[in-house]
Amino acid sequence: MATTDEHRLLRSTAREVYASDPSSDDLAALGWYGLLTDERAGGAGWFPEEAALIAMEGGNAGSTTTWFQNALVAAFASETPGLSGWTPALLSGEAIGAFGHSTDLSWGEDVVSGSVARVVSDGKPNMVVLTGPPGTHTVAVHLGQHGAGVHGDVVALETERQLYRLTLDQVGAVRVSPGTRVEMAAIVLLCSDSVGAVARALHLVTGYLVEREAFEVPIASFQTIQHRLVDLVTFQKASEALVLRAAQALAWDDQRAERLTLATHAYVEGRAVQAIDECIQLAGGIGFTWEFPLHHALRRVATNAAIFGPGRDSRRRLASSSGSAR
Amino acid sequence: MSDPPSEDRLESHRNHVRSVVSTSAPAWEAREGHRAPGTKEEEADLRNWYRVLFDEGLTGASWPVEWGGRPDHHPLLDVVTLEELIRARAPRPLDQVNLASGVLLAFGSEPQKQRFLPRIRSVEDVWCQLFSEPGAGSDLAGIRTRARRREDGSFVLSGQKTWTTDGHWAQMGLALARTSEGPKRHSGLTAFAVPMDAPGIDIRPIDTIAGVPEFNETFLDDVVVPADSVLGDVDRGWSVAMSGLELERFGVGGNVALLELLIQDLVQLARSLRLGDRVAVDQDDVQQVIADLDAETEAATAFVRQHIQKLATGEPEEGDAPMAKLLTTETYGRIAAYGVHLADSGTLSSDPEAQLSRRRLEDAWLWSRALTISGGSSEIMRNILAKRRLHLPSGGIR
Repeated sequence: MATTDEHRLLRSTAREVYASDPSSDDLAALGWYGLLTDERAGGAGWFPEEAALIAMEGGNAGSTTTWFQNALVAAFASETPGLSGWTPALLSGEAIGAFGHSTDLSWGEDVVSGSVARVVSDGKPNMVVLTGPPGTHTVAVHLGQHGAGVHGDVVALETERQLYRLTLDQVGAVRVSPGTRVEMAAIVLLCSDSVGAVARALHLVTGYLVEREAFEVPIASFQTIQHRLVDLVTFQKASEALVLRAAQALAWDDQRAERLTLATHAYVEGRAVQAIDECIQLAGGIGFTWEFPLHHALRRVATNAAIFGPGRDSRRRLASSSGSAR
Repeated sequence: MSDPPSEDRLESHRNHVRSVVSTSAPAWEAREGHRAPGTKEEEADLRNWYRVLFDEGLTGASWPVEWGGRPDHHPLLDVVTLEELIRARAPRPLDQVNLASGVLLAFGSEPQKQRFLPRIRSVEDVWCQLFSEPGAGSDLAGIRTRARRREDGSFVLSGQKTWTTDGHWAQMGLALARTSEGPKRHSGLTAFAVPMDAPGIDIRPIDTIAGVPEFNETFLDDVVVPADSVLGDVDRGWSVAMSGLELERFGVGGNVALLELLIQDLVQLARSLRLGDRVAVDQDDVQQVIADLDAETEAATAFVRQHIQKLATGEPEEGDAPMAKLLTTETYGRIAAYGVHLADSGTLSSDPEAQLSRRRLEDAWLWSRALTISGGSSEIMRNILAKRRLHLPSGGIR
């Protein structure tokens, strides 16, 4: 994918799909679940850039669907020996896949124990891929096994998507080396979702401040407000460019893909939360109310900021790759 | 604009620039914020180097072929040239060289082009810009320097200019002066080509915060210039001045290479700095900050590349250029400021490489304010973006 026209078309299609509140059958028919899985395994091929654009629109729309987690787990399974049997059900939407992160896991030879505080999933997940802090294993776990608990009683800020917590007691798991391209794609798509949510918040607050008057002039005509809005849109556009550049590097199997992915996570994760927090401040009193929907975007990016691992882990790994850590 | 060059073409151009740099660039390293030559020897080196760049088709490549430009020119090649000059820490051609030539090519008469362009290519003439005044910086339409027409058609210029970059070693100045009081502030201005050694011109260098003369105050006291010094039409100088300022829009493309260099120096410094009993680079908080600045650099780079791509394919987006300026210049300042702060918080090895990295970061920190103030300050950029990108209403209490 290269041209901005193609980008525009894909994004407008994605917006329509999100607005239609699609079922899993709809998403399977659209081929979204297969955007990261090789054709030989039943997918559409390796399309991280297209997936990132669609994910961005999902964050913008406040979508409840977590389709890209299915796409990620399907791709992960198709590329991992012993897991390819999972792929068809994930691609068809019969099974729900989720990606997650935990610092509370311990591994046996082929089992894992511990807990995962939260995974985002559109319904109870059947299969998860879990990453840990730098230097630890990535594991794939089928949650239908004895010893695996999936619980809906999660205390969290999130209001748009469903969250689950997992408990694992000596559950069979497939261990793989971390740092695969699917793990990188997971980070990029998550950041893309957050950038979309920032765009939504910025659009909301800008529209409000242009209409709303104080001292008999639009609030958005005050220079101090204008400069803060400009800083927000500049951050949003820089994030968007970085997300797409990382996704493109992944698409081309560019050697800089991992570095760009880590930079994307390091740049977007904390700043996206701050950006929406700033939107709430700029909105004034109305931004503080439940009725004005800014806070949903804030809650979403706050969830995103850690579910695939914290930005500090990515900064650590980025420092290692640039030689500023040994 | 012609089709963007192929990857192979860009790569061969990159190799060409590298080979020119390795054979002909001055032996000394270009320092940030030390652009004007400090000695006669440096001036000779610089003029020689700039001449090589013209001769090799690396500067002035965009000019029409009859004036020495390249038939296969594309702005993306200039981006590569600038990147490579920056990475090699070679002196870069001054904005003013390009600015004057752009104006001459767009507005100069044939005799004016004949007279001035070859001397720019041979670097016999360095040009400076006599636009800003003590009372008119970002608000250029407020200039008060006057040009009075005499009966023989010549003009007499009087007034005071400031921020004249390179004025102290330039041969020619591109001056903007008021020739009439029009109904609008932007009308009634005229652009002139003025020899800097003309009687009545007094140039007083101003030292920057780095302690070096980069720019000047220029006093024009009844300076007489002939009628054929007018560039473009009398009273229509505003469009001449604006065209010069628009020319360098691809320039920001190469500048992200400056950020890469600063990150490299920051890492070098952190490896050679002891904080207590540990090396700075091994401290988690230092790693976190460096990685965050590195990520910020990648974000600015990604944005700028996207912007350049849009320009090259003829789909520029309103406001991308000021955004690119904000992202690159402010990131530049943050990296440099952190580097200096870090260097001062521990004990730096006496290793020459470490000391050099420190000096480069210090140079960049002091210079960073030139980037966020000149060419439209960050605040002006934000005003422009509020209006043109976000279409926010004007008229609030300012």
